[in-house]
Amino acid sequence: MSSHREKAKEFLKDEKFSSWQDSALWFVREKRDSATKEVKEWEELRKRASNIKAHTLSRLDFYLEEFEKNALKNGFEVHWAKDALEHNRIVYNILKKEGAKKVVKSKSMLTEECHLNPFLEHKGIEVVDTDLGERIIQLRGEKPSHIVLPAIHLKKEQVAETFEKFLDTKKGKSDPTYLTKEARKHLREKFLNADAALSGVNFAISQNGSFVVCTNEGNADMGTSLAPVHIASMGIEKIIPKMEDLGVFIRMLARSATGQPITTYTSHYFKKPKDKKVHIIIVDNGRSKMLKERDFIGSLKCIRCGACLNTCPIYRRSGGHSYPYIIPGPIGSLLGSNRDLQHNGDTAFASTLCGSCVNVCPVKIDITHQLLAYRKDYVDSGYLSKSKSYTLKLFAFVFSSKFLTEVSFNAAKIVLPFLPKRLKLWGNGRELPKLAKKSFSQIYKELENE
Amino acid sequence: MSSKSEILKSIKNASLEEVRRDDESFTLTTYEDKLKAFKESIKGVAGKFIECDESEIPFKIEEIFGKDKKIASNIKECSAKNVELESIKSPKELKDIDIAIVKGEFGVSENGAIYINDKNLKDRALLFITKTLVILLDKDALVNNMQEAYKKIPNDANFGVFISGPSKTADIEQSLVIGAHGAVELFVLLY
Repeated sequence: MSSHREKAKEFLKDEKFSSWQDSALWFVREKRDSATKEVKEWEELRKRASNIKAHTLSRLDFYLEEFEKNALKNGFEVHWAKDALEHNRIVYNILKKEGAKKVVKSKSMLTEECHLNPFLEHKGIEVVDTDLGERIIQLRGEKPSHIVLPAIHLKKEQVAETFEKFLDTKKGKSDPTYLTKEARKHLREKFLNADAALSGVNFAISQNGSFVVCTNEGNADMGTSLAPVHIASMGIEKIIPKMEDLGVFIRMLARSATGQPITTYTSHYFKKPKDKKVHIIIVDNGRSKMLKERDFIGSLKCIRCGACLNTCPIYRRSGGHSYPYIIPGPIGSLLGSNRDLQHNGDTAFASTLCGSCVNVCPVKIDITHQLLAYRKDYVDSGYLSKSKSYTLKLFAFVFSSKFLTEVSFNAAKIVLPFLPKRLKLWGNGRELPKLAKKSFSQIYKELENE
Repeated sequence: MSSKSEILKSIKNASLEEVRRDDESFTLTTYEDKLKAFKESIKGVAGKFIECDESEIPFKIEEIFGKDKKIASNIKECSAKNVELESIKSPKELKDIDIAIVKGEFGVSENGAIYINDKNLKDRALLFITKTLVILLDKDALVNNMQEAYKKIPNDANFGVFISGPSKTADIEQSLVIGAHGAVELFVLLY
């Protein structure tokens, strides 16, 4: 399997597109900035959001049981799944019992994590992703490259080609409005004929057993209001204690994600309607294990806004598909490393540790500290390539001695400018700055002697 | 052991020390003129608004939409409607509705969202399946922000939704397109 570095190199070959993506994502980051500046209590909100999540995680068993008790009172059916396979089986068994053959699904990173679609398709069930971006990549057989903007890796011409093939749109017509209208028509038919609707959960409220789903397109609402069966999948970390806590999170989610003041639809499922069946599946799949890892517990606060992706200089310049885990970018590097250090751990190095992600995170996750901790684990577990590992050992040896450090710095000053470009660390696409004639410690000594 | 008890046991095993909840209040954004802020927010989310007297509402609707449209409403006094919601057996029958007219409970100045619940709604699908959504909203029923909004939501409906503007997407090259799956147009009639 090729590393993040190699895949990023591949992505950067198309210079025009990679710089378009870089600036498109930066534009979303700027929209986020101006949206947050409208709210003068923004930093207070971040602190509160982080505190509510930390509090909830510290009493998660209590809040989950409360949630279940209240959800049952509301007429919802509640299921618990230890892992992805159990989750998928529960979904399938509900569908089988209801005789459902066609299902529509709105965006849910959890179902991606569980690989639900291939599981259901293998059993002969038609699963249609209804978020426009997700539908596009589903038709193309790709995985999302961003958690909020799943098709950000595609040009409109590529979307036009895909729609021409599957939706019979006019050849060569790549106007986004035209393509969106055609997708609307195509998906209307799917909504009207669906036997069941699947959705994720943005927030589950322990106090009254209700849950919230946010979308801009209205696809979750179309699905769940038309189909007789609704199955909502949630990770155990989606719980918040009270309705009033939503005031904090709803104000932050869309502003952080896209710079909108709120998503177009913020839907609250309070009770089961008479003519419908509503199932909630509470999924662990490795999350409770993270509670035991004090260094990494903070990732469970994530509300999946994607702000850390948009701001990350590495993500913006390497594209979502260079990351091996289903969630890319800084938060994906943490969650992926936690799930499978050997295969995903190299993404802990896909960061300059500049901390921009930490500054934009609405729940104040200590992303850079965690990345550093995963790097240590990765190296300690012996997963680092031999050449890198030897280089690092050499560095450690040199820098642990004052004498060797000084010698090597002086040598570097002479040698570095003459090194061939490909040998220079981070040399691709960069020029070395001019080296100072005197080192800091030399100047310091001279000043001291004056 | 059931999966539920296994999960709960695994959580308990983490034996985390309780993090205290910080309930101290802080100052929230408010507006001197809530109506003005609300109208600006509506524009920002690609919605449209019209101000009128309560008695003018039926004329306004006719004036804007004409008469040859399929119009549904859950408001008894709405004279513009020509689709009988009560006779509908499946939400799928709503698929050709051009205009839905419903009452909003209250609006939120900071984001242009309007809260609607399904208490008096025969089928909530109406809110999403219609081409044009018209929401009647009392000018005095405005709150500043979402914290205030959540204090106003009673737990007596099956479903409730904040709607802020027409449905939208930017999934193709980040170009904003209005009218993804839900309403293509959203009018707020402020009376």
